[in-house]
Amino acid sequence: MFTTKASGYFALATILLVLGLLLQDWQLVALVLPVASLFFLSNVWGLPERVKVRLSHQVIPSDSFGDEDIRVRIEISNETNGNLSNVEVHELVPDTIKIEKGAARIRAQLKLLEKLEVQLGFPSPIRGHYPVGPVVVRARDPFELYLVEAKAESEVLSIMPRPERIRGAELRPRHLGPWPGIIPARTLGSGTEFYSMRGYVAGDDLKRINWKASARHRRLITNETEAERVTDVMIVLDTDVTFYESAEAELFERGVRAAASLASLLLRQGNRVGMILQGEERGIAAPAFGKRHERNILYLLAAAKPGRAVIPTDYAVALLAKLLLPARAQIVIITSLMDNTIVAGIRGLVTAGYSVLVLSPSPGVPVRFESESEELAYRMLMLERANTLFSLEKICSVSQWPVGIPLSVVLSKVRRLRPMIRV
Amino acid sequence: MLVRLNYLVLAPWVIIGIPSLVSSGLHVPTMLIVSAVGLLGMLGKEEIFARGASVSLAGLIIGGKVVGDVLGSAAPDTAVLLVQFVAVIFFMEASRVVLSFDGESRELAGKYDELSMGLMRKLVEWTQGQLVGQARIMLVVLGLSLVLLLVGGFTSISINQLGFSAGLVLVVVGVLLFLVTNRREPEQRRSK
Repeated sequence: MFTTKASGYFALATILLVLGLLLQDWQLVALVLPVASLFFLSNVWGLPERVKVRLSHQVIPSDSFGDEDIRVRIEISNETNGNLSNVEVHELVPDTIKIEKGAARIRAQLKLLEKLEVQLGFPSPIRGHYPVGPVVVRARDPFELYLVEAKAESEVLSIMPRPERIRGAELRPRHLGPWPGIIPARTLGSGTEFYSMRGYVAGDDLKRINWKASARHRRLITNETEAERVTDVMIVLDTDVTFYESAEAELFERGVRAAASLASLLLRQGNRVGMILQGEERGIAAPAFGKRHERNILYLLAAAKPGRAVIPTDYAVALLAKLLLPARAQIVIITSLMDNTIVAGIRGLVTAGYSVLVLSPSPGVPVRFESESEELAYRMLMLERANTLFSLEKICSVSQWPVGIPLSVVLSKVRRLRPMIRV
Repeated sequence: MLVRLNYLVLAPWVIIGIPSLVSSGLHVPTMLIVSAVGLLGMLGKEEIFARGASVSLAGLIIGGKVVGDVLGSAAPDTAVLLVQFVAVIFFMEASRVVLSFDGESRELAGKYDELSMGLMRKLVEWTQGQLVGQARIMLVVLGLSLVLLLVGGFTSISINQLGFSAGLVLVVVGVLLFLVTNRREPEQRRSK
């Protein structure tokens, strides 16, 4: 195609012609000759008529936990029947990415059938999804009067939160799946915990014979164990932390890390795990098993951003839980509890028979307050949060996660809520 | 370096040859202003200034010729006029290449890894190739223009025949259009 510059030169030539005619001046008309010759030579010599360029780009790795450098490899091969003297390669990268190796815009010459491989590198950005590309290759003649463009679509670089290795919490949902897992099922079956004893039956494993009991009863007695099964868990990450602007980012990132770590742990244990992001931007990963699903959940978490929820959290969670989870399954809600409207929603879930665990990252105390009223506001906010916690502790398991304490320690202290006996 | 300092040579050469009315009798100040703007563009790596100075020089050549015709002053030598015009176009395009080189190399400045050094080598090769390619085409352009001028000189066409002249203009515009668009399509507007 011809460029805007070519149109400009054409306009200049036309003006010269008209002026020459009006003023009856052949010298002005003669100035059209170089312009016309320039067009002719650029068209014929500058750029081959058919330009064929094969183009590809690849982000390596395309998803990462943010602890390695990222490279973008661009390959261009000239499949034109001639040299390309003026090739511009432009990789569009987001402004937040600072290229440390190479450059996003490259100019080069490509000889006949030459293959050019260029790379650019940058340190891993913070958690999120980043579109890299599209990469555009423009082949032009030396005067840039003619242009041929090729484009390769953009790829997405995902920086996911790294799940921490944590120990499990004591989850005791009433719904259990048929497959073996680690959650005691309150029925006989293969497991590790003692459940009861019975008389030996031919075919029983000799290792399970309780020799002391056998001696006492003068017949062989076998130990029975409690079955351990998997369950369905829905992790809800409440991304609405906007009540606490001063430490919003830190509080939010802890929530994301906790969600990633819990999802990873529960999936490793063989459970069916789903994820709900609830806030300004919402996202859902329906419950599923396996490593691939862990990747899906981490991919979803990579896109999580803090923001004020448009739909009330209690409403969204109750609706999605009923749609995606079997009755009496486990729900883990990760929330900073800055908004007390969530209590009603959790009460509704508990009433519906779901086992609910609330993990609440505690906000840190600001280093200093800008004014006395800000300090007062902070104290009131914390008081309200304490009230919310108190209300929740009556209806479900609640675990506070203070700053600086490992998540494993917090989760190991989670105990099932004992139902109150009313007399 | 020659490309960076081209305005120091081009501006006096072009401006001295034009009628003083075009620059309102201020040849020297005009020369200084154009040279300064051009140099500022080239040394300060501001393409808009460099391009502005080049376009001014082309405008002065054409304007000088038009004013000369209106005033009826002595016409300059056609070959000199052509060479000046070709030189202005060449240096305008060469300046763009040099400024592109500056812009790209600024992005690679301070990067000493293998990838960046490789790109720098390619950029130097590209710049040299572009300048040589442009110079080669411009030399042929100049030669072709002079030959066509000579051929045109042999054919004495009376310009007073207005109908013929208008037809000639139309033919030339048609030929130009053919040269511009032959085998090529217009550039598509890029979406942001």
